[in-house]
Amino acid sequence: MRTGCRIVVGLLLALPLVMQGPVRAQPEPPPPGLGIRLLEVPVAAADDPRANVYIVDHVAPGAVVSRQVEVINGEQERVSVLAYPAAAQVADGAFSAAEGRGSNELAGWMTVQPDALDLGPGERGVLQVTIRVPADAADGERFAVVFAERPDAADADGVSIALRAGIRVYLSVGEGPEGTSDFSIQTFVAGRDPAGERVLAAKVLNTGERTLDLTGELVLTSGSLTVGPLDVDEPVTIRPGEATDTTVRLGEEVPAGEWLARLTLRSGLVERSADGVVQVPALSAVVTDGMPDAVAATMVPAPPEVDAAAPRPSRDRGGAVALSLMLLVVVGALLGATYRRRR
Amino acid sequence: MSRRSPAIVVAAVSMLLALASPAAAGSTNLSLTLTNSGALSIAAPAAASASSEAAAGVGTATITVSGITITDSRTLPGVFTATATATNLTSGADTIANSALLWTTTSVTSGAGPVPAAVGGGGVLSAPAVIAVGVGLGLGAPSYTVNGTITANIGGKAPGTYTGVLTTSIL
Repeated sequence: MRTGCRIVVGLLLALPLVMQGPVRAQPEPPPPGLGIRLLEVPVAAADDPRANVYIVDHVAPGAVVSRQVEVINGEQERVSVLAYPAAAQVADGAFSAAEGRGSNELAGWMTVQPDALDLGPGERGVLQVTIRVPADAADGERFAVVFAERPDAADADGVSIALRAGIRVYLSVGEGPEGTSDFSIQTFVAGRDPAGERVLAAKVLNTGERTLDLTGELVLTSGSLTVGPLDVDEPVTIRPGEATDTTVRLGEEVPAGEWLARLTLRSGLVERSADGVVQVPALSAVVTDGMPDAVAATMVPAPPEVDAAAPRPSRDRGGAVALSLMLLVVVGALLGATYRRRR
Repeated sequence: MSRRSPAIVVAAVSMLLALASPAAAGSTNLSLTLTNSGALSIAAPAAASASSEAAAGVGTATITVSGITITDSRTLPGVFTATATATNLTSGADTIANSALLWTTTSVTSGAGPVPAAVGGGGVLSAPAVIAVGVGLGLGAPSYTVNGTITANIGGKAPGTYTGVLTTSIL
């Protein structure tokens, strides 16, 4: 019995180590260059993929927003990194940052501490980002970026290269609950782009009150034949009330003819799909400007739209597996000890 | 029985410690610390390829920029945009304005296996010019190598070695 107890105690004491040990691989070396990642997300937005990679928040005037950001040196040498906020804008379907330390209203509300890091090879440092929204701030959504910068090597010849890695900030200010995030797929057509490639082009309207980052995919079916999913060519960022075109290259694998197309787009937790019948043009065609043989889709009613969480990668379940195995061993040891004692 | 009790107590304490720790970290305040959101990284050589020598009177010079590497290690879906800006190029008192510098992405290639798409771009380097746009689906660490050229309008400029800074950004 004494031996059995020792085994049990030993196994149980080792339990936390086992959970954190073999099932959690050593951290891989960071990718080359300068890396950045967000460390914190509001609990209320923990399921939103966008809020996990960007600072996305809605606050009242006078609020203080705080986040931690990690900077990673993937170089083989020690580097000095500068940290600062910078202005950003959403225009022409893209989120872009200002040159240098260009400021705007939101960047002016932000501080980043420390403002410089000295990181050895593979080392990581943490930045504290604080946004102090003035009490008299007007309602609306603003954009900025938290940058970590590796300045250029002063001794480089010719055109030297500096690196910046940033975390986007989408901050909505206003009393009351956050505005809705929503969009609609209004039309789509199959045709050719100006370069002559066959594409499906969709017009999307941001019908909500927050800026969206849209990605998605297209699936084509014709009888028993299915093609896809084909990724949207280029993610687009659109502000409320704005419309944009998004395209999917059809490549050469889609035979010409009539197809049922299902286009699914998403931004964070909002996902919308639209179905339509499209006429995919033949591979070869006379190319002129625009989409010479574009055929408007006959939109058919889509299934009820859903606010569905985007697919999430499976979390590491190693700890749970290890726990289960250890509990089985413990129970077995207890039963064995009890059995031997009774004998 | 008295010898078995300590083992049971230790078992209970150990399991409570093991199971309670992760939950406690996220419930103590309004923020949840993430351990797996992954990083967005960018790497580049210290300098662009040696500036091409342009003959006097030639209107443009081309500077090759090879090996800008973008790695999207984020484990959750997210888009990224890589941009570039340049300072004026100077040679002593002579200057080629950055408004005369044009970026063109010549290729965007990925390492191995199917990865989400990234596409190139271009534009004048006096303002952020898109060099690549892509989307990470949180399925791993797709890495892209971006190559491009800077075309400089050097008409009327004095001969010399011009230097400047190209700043590449990922966000």
